[in-house]
Amino acid sequence: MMSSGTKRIQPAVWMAMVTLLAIVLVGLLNLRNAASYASETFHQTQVLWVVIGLLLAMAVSVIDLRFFERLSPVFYWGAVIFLLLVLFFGRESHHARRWFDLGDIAFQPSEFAKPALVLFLARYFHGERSPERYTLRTLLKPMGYVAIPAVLILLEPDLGTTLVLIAVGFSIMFFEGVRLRSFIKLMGIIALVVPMAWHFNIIKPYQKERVRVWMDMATSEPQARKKLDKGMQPEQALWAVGSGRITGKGSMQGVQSRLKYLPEMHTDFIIATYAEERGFVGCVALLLLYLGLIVSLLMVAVQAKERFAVLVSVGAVAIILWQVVFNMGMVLGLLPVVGLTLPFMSYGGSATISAMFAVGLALNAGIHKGQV
Amino acid sequence: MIGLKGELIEYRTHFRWALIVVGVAFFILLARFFQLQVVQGGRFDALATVSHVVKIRMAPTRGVIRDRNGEVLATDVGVADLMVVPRYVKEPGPEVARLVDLGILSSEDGTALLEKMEKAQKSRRGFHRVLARSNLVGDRCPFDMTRMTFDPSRGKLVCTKCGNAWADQRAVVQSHLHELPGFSLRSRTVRHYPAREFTAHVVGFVNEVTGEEVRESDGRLRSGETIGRSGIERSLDRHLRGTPGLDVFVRSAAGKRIPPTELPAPFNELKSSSPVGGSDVRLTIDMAIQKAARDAMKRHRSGAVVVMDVHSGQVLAMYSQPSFDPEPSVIRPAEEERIRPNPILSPRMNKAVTAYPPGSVFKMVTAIAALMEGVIEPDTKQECPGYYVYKRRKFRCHERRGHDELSLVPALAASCDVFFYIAAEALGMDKLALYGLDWFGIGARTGVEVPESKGLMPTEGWYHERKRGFQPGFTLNTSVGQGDMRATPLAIARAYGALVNGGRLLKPQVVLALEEGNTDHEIAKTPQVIRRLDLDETHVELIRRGLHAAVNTEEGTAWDVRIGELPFAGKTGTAQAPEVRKGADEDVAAWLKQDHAWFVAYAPSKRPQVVVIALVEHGGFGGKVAAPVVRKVLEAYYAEHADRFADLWEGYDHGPILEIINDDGVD
Repeated sequence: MMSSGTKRIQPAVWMAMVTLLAIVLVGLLNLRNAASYASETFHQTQVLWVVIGLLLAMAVSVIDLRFFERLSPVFYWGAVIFLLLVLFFGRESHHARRWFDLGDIAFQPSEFAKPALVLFLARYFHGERSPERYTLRTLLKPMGYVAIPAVLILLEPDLGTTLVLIAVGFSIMFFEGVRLRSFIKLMGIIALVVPMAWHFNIIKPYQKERVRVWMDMATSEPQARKKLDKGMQPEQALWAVGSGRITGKGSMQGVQSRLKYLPEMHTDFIIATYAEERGFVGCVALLLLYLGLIVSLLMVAVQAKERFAVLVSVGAVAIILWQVVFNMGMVLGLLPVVGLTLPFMSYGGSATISAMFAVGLALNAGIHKGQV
Repeated sequence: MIGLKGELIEYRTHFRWALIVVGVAFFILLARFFQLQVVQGGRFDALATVSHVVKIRMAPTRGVIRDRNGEVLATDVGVADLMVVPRYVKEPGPEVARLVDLGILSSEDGTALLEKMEKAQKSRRGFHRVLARSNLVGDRCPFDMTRMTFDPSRGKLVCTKCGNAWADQRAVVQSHLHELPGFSLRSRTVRHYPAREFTAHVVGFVNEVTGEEVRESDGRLRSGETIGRSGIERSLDRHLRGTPGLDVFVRSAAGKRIPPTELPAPFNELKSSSPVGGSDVRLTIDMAIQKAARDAMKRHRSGAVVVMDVHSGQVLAMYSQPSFDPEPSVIRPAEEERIRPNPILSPRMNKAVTAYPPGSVFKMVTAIAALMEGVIEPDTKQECPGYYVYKRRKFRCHERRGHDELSLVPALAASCDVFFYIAAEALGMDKLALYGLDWFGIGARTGVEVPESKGLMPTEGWYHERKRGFQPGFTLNTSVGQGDMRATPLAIARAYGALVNGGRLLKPQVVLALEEGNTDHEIAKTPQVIRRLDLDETHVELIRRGLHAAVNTEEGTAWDVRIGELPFAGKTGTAQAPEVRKGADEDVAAWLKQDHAWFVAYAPSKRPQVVVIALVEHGGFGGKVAAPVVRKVLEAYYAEHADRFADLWEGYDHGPILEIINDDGVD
């Protein structure tokens, strides 16, 4: 019945592909500079990840979604098992267990929990569609599905991915429809849970310290702190971004980046290097590219004719959206520092492949027009 | 597919909501970029030139310690080390060869350095500064740290003290640094003790703080700094240390120092502070007497001498034998190992403030106690057959042949033990302890400014707390300074001082003044009276006669050391204290079996000025061994203070004193 839709590819799909490729290109160029500041060559490895990712995205976008629907419990519970295993057998680094070592490369299960959750939630709502808007009670089960991997990731600990996972889960639920009253209640619960998590030390001391640093940065006039302590690192990122000014210092001219004062220069804080080199103009361009990608993917999503496809697409877009927003917000000092990569810009195999996988899922809806 | 259309319509509204959420989020990011890069961009650009704030701690100079006449006993001197950053060295071979040519490094040291540098160049630590040679000869003699003068005829620096000639290596390196890329000079200070082993125990020494001390100091101490370890260096460390300064500056991203005027707030408000040097300390020690004390002890393995002014409590000399060189050994070449005393003799221990059994020097206290308590009268006489049997135990007198019937004064002079046994039997242990501890402060800390041990004045209660319990015989032992009693030479000197200065038990003082900048805190200006003793002048006079007779009559135990022109009084002591020490060879083991020799004297006999005490550890008989030490020190004191004695000799002329003695029926 939908076969005709698969033949013609919509403009939104084209737009998504073009913006994606543009971002990937900008990201690789930027990584090359970041790598040269650090006298390293990880940008070459990243090319490999991008190629693998793109191939994966293409593959995912043409595979019949029914395949994913059927396999989604396997993905989801598989991800949960991996998240459990990584807590015990993962490699410990920076006080966290997030990676499995597979020879030379490390594999980060939390990255794959995100698309797995999207597929699983989409399947759940597809099967359990209630005629009414969802209330808190009816949302209890899907919230539980969000909570299981979220808690496991929080235990690693990886607050950034946890937050993205929660945001993605809620994005899907809201897209499905939630009553306004329930929404307000939910916000109220969150308003209660966060201070409790703070008080009972579920939030780690170093995470609290980051929040304090952020509050310091946010409440006072941006300026150099007199103490050169840990709080200096995010502030150094702010200096780098700000000192890019309107047109940027130019390729390979970043002072802050060159001096390696930027923390996590090539991963979580990659945008600082970019902003220092390319300035406001470059940042606006990048924002527009991300906006283009997200909006076009959303357009692809709503054009799907099947609920499962819509929700998968929306969830996939949410992954990209919240990672971009949280990551940039963190570097720009709008949010406390949480470990989180910027899709297609940060260096990292698991992150790149996972983001590409998400894009592939989102595009799938446009290519198959959501038949299940 | 029920309600497909409816769903899609619903999704479309949700899509609009989603677009709004996305739009708002991106707008916030955009606005933030605008704020940071456009609005505040200039300011951040300025900040971004700032690499980091550098805070360099500037060490203060440690206070100088001088003797009472201004002779320097401890001071900081600057030394230079040759440093190298291996990765900055362009041609290691030729550069090291140049240093060998210049006479800065020996060829062996050069080879070793070359090896070290080549290893470091390959490692990550190649950018760390390492020591190439410590203590380059500068303007101070490497042997004795005295400032050298330049001898133009020889083209070298000549030490005025030892006469050695040296090339000024610091200047040589300085003038060749341009051809030695990677090498640099580092200046630092070391503590220099010109008085060396003469005052090592009183002045003390410094060494590097331990990691634990740094952690516990709350940021006050940093690793690499020094701290006083003993003597005044330790007890006045807080004053001597000074306050470190902080050189605060901002380094640019290019590594340069940025002048404060070119900096944005708050960097232009950063303030540096200069270090404040520590207070100088003037000691009461008189180097002339201190030297005499060391000289007098030269023959002896171990012991101590204290000289104290009886009126002020100022300690004029405090020497402990053997002494040690308080200066870090780096300054002296290896062949200069003059001071390497036998560790079994505890050279670091200040024996002047370490407690020992005092022997007969304690009899003064027993005598006072007996007189005060009415146990004996001035004319009470005792027969001494050479021993005293008490509770079926025989207590021997040091004079096996015994003494004729004698009263207190000759008993003190001849140091008859039996006389005091009998007095003590009547007194009881606790009365003895009352006078010993509560009056004369034996078994208590004196409060002197250097770390000291307390000693022990046993009581019946003290014995009851022990396993052995109390036996009355202990009282007899204690009365002659034996048994469990322990006293420091300083405490005994102070007790004798109190006897002859009108009954004022003073706090002995080693610190004369703390000099902070221009203000002088004359700490020792006024004598600090711990206690006024309610002494009966007639009792004191009796004892003083006895002590005078000990030196100035043939029956006296110290007759051999009398000084014709300086009549002084004293009390000998010979304390049994056989010991076993770990690691002692046969010679030392035999020495350890001997008695401690004591002699405490005040001079002159009439209107005393000074009290001198000598302890010769395991020296033997007090009158034979310790008394000559005191005599030598007294002579030095007299040589320096003869003018102060001038008026004392009028109508003194030996005659009256002998008369007094004769009155008491001695001889």
